[in-house]
Amino acid sequence: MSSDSIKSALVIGGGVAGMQASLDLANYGIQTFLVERQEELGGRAYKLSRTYRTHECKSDGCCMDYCRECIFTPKFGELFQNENIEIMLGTEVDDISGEPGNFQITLNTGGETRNLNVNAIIMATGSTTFDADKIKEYGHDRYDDVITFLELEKMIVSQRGEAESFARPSDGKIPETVNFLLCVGSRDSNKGNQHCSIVCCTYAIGQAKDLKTKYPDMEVYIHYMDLRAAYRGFEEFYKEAQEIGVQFIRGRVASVQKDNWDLVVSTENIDSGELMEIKSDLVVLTVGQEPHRGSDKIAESLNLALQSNGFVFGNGTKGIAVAGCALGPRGIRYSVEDAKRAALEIADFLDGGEVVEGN
Amino acid sequence: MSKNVRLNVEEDLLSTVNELFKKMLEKDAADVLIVPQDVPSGACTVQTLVRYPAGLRALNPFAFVLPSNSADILVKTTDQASQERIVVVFRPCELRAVFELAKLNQINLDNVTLISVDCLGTLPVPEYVELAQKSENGLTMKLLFDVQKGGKESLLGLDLRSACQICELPVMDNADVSICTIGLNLQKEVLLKANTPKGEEFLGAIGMELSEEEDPESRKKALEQLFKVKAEAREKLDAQVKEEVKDIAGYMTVLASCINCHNCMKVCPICYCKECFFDSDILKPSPKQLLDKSEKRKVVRMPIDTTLYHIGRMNHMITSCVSCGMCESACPSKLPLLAIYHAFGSDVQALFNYVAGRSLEEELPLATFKEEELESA
Amino acid sequence: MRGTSSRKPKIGVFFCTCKGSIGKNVDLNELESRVKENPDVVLCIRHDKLCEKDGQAFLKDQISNTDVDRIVLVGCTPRTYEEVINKGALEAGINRHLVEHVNIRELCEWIHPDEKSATEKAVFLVLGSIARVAFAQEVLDKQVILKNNNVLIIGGGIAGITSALELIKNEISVHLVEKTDKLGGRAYELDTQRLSEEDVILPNINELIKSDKFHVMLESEVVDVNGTLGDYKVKIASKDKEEELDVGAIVIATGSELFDAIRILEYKYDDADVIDFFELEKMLVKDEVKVPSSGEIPKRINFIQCVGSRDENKGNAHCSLVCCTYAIKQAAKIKILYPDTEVYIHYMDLRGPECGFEEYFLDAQKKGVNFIRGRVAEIQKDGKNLILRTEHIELGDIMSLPSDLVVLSVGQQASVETQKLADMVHLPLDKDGFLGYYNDRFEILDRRGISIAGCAQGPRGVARSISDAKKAVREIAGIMKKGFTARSIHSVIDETRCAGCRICEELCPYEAIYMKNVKDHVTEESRLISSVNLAVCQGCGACAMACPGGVPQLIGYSNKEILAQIDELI
Repeated sequence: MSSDSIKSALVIGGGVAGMQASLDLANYGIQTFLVERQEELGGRAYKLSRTYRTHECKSDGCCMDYCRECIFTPKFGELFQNENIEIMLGTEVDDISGEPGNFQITLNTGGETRNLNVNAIIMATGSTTFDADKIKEYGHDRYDDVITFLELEKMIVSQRGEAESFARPSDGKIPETVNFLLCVGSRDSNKGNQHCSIVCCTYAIGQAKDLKTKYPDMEVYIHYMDLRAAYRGFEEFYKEAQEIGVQFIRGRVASVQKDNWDLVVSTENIDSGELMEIKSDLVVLTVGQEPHRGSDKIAESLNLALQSNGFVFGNGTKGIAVAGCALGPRGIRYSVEDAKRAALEIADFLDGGEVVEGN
Repeated sequence: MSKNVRLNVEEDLLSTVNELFKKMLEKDAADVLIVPQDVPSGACTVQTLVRYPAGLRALNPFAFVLPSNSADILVKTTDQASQERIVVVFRPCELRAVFELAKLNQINLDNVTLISVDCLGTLPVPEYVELAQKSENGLTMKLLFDVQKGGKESLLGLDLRSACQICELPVMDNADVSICTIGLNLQKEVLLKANTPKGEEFLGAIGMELSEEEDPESRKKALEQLFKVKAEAREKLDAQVKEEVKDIAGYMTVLASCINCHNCMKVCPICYCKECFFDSDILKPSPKQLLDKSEKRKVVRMPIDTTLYHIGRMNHMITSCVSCGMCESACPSKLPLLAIYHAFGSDVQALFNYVAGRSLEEELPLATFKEEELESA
Repeated sequence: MRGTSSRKPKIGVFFCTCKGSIGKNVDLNELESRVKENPDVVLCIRHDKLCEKDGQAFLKDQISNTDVDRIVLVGCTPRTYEEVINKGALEAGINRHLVEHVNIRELCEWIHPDEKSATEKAVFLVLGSIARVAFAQEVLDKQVILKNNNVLIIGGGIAGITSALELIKNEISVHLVEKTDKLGGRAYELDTQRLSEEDVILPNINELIKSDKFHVMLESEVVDVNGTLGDYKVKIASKDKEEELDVGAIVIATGSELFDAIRILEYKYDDADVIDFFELEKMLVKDEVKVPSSGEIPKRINFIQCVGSRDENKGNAHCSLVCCTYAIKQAAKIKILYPDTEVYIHYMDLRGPECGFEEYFLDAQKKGVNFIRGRVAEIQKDGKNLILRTEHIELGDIMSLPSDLVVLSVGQQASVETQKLADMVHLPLDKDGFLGYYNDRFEILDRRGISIAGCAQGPRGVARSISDAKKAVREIAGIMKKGFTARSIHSVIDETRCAGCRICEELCPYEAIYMKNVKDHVTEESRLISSVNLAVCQGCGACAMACPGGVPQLIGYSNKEILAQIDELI
């Protein structure tokens, strides 16, 4: 095969969607350039201590956690060894020009620029999480023990294997009462974003369930508006959480304040109509997802329209596909499915892409 | 309830049975018989293939000797395409092996009619041959009556093979037809039972009229007594073996004199492999490897791998071991193989709620998966 | 590729110190000197970080500059870095079966704090692998072309039709079996305008029917499936006949069925003015909604959500995922058609799996759709009027709402056909009766060439069914057209030694073993022996374990290799 007949594609973003899209493209015989802004692949998903699999993992029971190593390590291996993939970490896209089938890309790796010509592009820039400091009432900026769910994940990962494996930030004690606040920055057009972030219900319930299972005496509350993660198996997941004693309170939390030593969560229980104040040792803010900074710039240069919520519309010019959270909040599973679809679209567009067995 | 018929003894038992089998060929109920007959000198009884009535001269299914487990003959005479109707007369332990081999797809029973005989046990071959050479004609009948009568001197003071002493199933009531002798007055009659539709059809074809009679009281009593004696012997032997072979060191001590001749495998009816793994090249070290091994281990027992062989073989066939004891009879070093295989085999089989050779319907433990099995292990 | 004939093996042993993290407890000098004693070892060398770029270059260099033909890599766990480190060795021309990994980091360095035991164990492990690799044999990847590359699609709904079109686009012949008398399923009767994103474009059925590669069997059902990838024999029963089809792969697109609302007596589905969402959709497609009994425009419409869903007692335990979206969409459309009509949606939780749902919900609220949280207790009939009795959870009230038309948002449930089929092809069902098991993994395609598309895996919307089908079929298309590369680790059967006992056939968890007739090499008579389907074999080794004769052997795990390794270890 002469070198000019090899088709090439650029994948922007090295999270799960970008990784999967690159692997699929490469398996379709397309020379793939994977560009990631950070110094490591994996994106937000790699920061999670585990994924809540409900129906996802077939090896239920063979290990306790379907943890990141299990998902990512083999994927990293595949990516790094695939001949058709070139991975560029710490690299940003400075400029995109050209037309479908012939894009000129300018990349920037720590000040060094590089020019590329590719036939197609997959945008997998992902999303970012809402900045909890913006909602002053919840005190994320003031109190050590008010953390976001990502910070909780980080705690769990970093404390894994230690004797006291779960210690709150302020004094290292195992909290006796934990409150999860859902829809922080979501479904809230005044202080946050209007849209629903879809995956947070599942995560909060998962984390709550884990805590309650590990520390049966711990009081765990989840404050929600609607429990709406519409995934297969979610219903059972939610029931299990109720059965082991996680308490669900419907209503938006008014404030989190410090009363001498303790944090106090003030809320209205919509179902019963009563006002509640719950003392809490740890408050977890389940922040939603919002569009990534810079993704609008890329979307613009790709002629992709934006939705009202700031995420990208999937249908655009030929030769450009979008995958993962750039399209809007979604779970790992759907990001992967998206990526497979995007790779397929690109392969179809390029057509010359060899049809080979998928991985 | 099985259907049965009493067969009157005319001259004597053996000639009556001989006539019965002749009839099978004459009435075209079978193409070929596989039946035990005395060798002309009378020194032993062996299996024979008989196609014409003239070939039936000295039928003797009751002889107190079993030179080899005959299940293997069906492996050699049947295959997937077999059409000929074969009638066999086997002892219970041979039939058990037949059932196992059929489940292992080594025997095709489609056109085979299985006839079992009550078995009162067999003597070690050398002792039997010696005895037979000394005796007048009619040794089988003499022993048969002696044993029926019971008492210490019942076998002229000789001991049965240990497999026979502990035999669990000396009568087989799920062969197509069984010839029953235990607890009957053999000077007058034997009992023929048809246990399966195939058996009923077969007995019908040779002109037998079947009825549904209960076993005579004398037979029930005799069987009860027989089972009791065997069970006691079994318990005693099992306990003794488990004491001797309670760990790997004990196992190696008991098998210390193994000469690695593999006779036990060769005579085992269950060892059906075309080439035994332990005979294959894989386990033949090159001279260099062998010498290297001595360097590393300081000392290497020769012949090597005897323990591996016994553990491996046991691992391979223990769930199907029918305790016929051929291995022990064939062992030149007189290793107590039957005792070991029975003690561990019955334990392993119990784990799977399985008894090797008990019936054709029970599925091989290895070929079935049950979620709840082995929980007690 | 370097040859590996019977000549003496030349083994290169590479120690990776993992940037110095190996070597505190394991005495590397002692280990190296013990390794060097082995006469087969011709190269014994250390590096800091073999998994990085210069480490790889070093590895390649060393292999190219010497005549080693087998490699033992000593370092961290192969679970993480095997593929990465192997790359250098493979690039230098060493077959992957001639490379052994020894993990002395997790297995020695990290868990044995005292030097003696850590080193001693490392020595055994490394010597074991050296002994093993000395017997290893080069294995080349095998390309397998399938005997039959037609595909059977079971189910003619949206997923089945999309799959068929995709396959035909790839020039693969398709047989499609549909149990009803027409193609299309539910999707073509829906108004497929989508939420905030673009409309869903349904594939064109006519285009499909025109294709000469498309063979359709209506009013037919699959009754039996036998065989394996590349060689399936499928029995199909039609109205008047039964025929057998030979196909290479199967796509299961049997879909789901709607919950039958008559099962919930309280909702009076037998009343003319109580309809399910599907019946309403048929009206909405024509842009007019009439009360069935009177023919008038309804003044009050109530939607009841979760009918037969999230309800273990009377319906199914699972949530049907798409009904909230539909109800909101329908309610909003009614508000556009008849702004004066009062529309209520009675819900438990509002859920939508797609993003954009929230905006859609807010939009419906703006249009004046009323949302009431609570499960409706019953529908009463007062003369001609329907009256809903429901709890309003937020107000804590019991309400009675008169209604001209009641729409039941019935959920999806697994179809009986899916369950029957699952049995035939030995696929597990999840507890809701769907084939969800496979969908949720990274890979969609079963190794046996059975792929699942659409609602057979669980409730889903039209768009997802379409993308599902495309994905599922892409993989099949590749295999059908070009064959596939068999796993290099698979079972091989020594035909002359197989006794045909079929234990391995019973035991193989992947159904990769089948029986075939061969001529005996001695008697020349035909006999039945085991054979391995390379497409399906996963190289698990169950057959090799079970066979008393050691007839099946796992490539890369032959008895010679394993026994040599064990000899060193004990």
